[in-house]
Amino acid sequence: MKQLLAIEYTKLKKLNSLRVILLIYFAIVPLWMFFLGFFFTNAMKGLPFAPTEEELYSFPGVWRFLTYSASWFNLLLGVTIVIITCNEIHFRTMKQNVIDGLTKQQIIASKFYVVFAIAVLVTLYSVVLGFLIGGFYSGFGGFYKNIHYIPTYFLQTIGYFSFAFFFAVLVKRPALSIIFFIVSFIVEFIIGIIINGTISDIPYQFFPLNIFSSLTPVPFFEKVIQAQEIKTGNSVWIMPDWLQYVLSGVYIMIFFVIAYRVLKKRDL
Amino acid sequence: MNDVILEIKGLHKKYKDITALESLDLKVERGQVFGLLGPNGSGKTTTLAILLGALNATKGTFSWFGNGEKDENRLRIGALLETPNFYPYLNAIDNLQVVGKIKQMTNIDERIEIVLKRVNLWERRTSKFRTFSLGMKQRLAIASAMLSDPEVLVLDEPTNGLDPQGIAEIRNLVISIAAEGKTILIASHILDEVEKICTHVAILRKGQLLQAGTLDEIMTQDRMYLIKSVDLKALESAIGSIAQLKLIRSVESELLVSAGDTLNPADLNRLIAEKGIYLSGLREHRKNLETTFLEIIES
Repeated sequence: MKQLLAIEYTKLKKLNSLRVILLIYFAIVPLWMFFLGFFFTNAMKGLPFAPTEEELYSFPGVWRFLTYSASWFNLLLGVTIVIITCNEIHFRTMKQNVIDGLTKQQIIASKFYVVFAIAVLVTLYSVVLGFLIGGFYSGFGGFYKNIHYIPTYFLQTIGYFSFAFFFAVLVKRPALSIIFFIVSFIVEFIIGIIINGTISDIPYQFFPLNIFSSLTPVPFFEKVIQAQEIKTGNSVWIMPDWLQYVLSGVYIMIFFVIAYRVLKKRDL
Repeated sequence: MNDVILEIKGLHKKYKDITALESLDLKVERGQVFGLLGPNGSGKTTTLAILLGALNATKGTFSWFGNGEKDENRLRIGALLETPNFYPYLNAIDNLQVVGKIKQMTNIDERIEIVLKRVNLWERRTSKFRTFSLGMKQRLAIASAMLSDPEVLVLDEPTNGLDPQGIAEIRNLVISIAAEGKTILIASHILDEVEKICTHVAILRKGQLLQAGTLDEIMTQDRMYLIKSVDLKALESAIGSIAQLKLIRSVESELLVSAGDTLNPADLNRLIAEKGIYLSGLREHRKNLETTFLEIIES
């Protein structure tokens, strides 16, 4: 593991696109958070589920709101994973790595470590940001409540990144992979709407990208569901958290295993 | 210590309808400089790519160091396959650092300095790979192959993109590495280069092995003569009627003939004179690898 991490670090430390995307991410997450906060507390004022500023920025609510806001930019980070992976295929360095002695399992493992390391980095950033914002608004008392949204966000980033990696291995071409990666979110969403409208709203909850997305729900999600149940008189089935975690893990595993099988079978 | 470095048995590679390699059997022993020869599309690169784990064989097996097809074998091999493949945004040192870490080397910095100096790239060590000329890229690839001081070097067209001076440098480099007792497997279609470097050769055509052996075994099978007479057409037809002679090709106003392994110039002159043709010129042609190669390929 240490050897593979050292190899990946040498490869990535001077990759400008990674630096730029990470910097954009670090800058945009707090800005987006405050923009969303402004929108929720002002534009939605009067609605029964509209949150207050205190609910969003104070402990313990800040963890949920922060991870929800940050989750919007997992797509951006996913694009980084696509770029990193496709570069290796495009530059033929993946092939050269194998020629030099890496096994295809090690290639997959090393990319998993990259995914893991970037997920750790952005999660740590969220922790720092959450502490600063929460501390500023409410002091540090009770900061540990709802902090489970941090590991959940970590799981979510790994989920999106593994999906991005899977796509990059499958499609190989950087531009095409990025397009497919982004379009797949839209396609899954449209399929979800069709299924929700024609069959039931349960199957869509099992779709991979929807599961990853549900890991960091909008802060007033339960209130919306409650309002809907009152309005329709029907109870809504929401997937329990534990099942979301398990299925996220299963999907992550599936994406990496398929990527490995594709790579193993494929001539480099 | 196992003297057989590489053993290939029935190696076969098929791409949909195209057979790139057909039942290849080869053995390379320690210390040999083994040349894989063949025209474009003969299966040289395919063979090397399979041996280096970049392609999956359709059938057949190979074994490095008597240790089968294990991935770890490649850590003991330095290889350049087709084009130099490096990270364009990294400099020469960082690119070699990646290779050194893959090879699990402990003396990476020291070796990087040695190999970059050996290929004359030390001055450009901090330049990004994307700024290198084709020749420099090729030299970096050779440096990378030599980085771990491997037991075996596999070089696929190592002089591609190099100028005549660069070609000579690489040739001398390979000769000096061979002199250290390393085993070298080299694929090339520059026959002059192979003749100067290799101890053994295998000739491939359309994925099939035509001949393999030492350079001497391959090259000294027949004696070759360049002959001429006033009537070249009559001479050509006379050669066709003599069983011991084989016309290879016409070379300007002369004919290149193969005369078996025993026929001396006097015998040759006599045989042709018996057909009523008198030679106005006869000289022995030193058979080089190119001639041999063309003979084998065209036969």
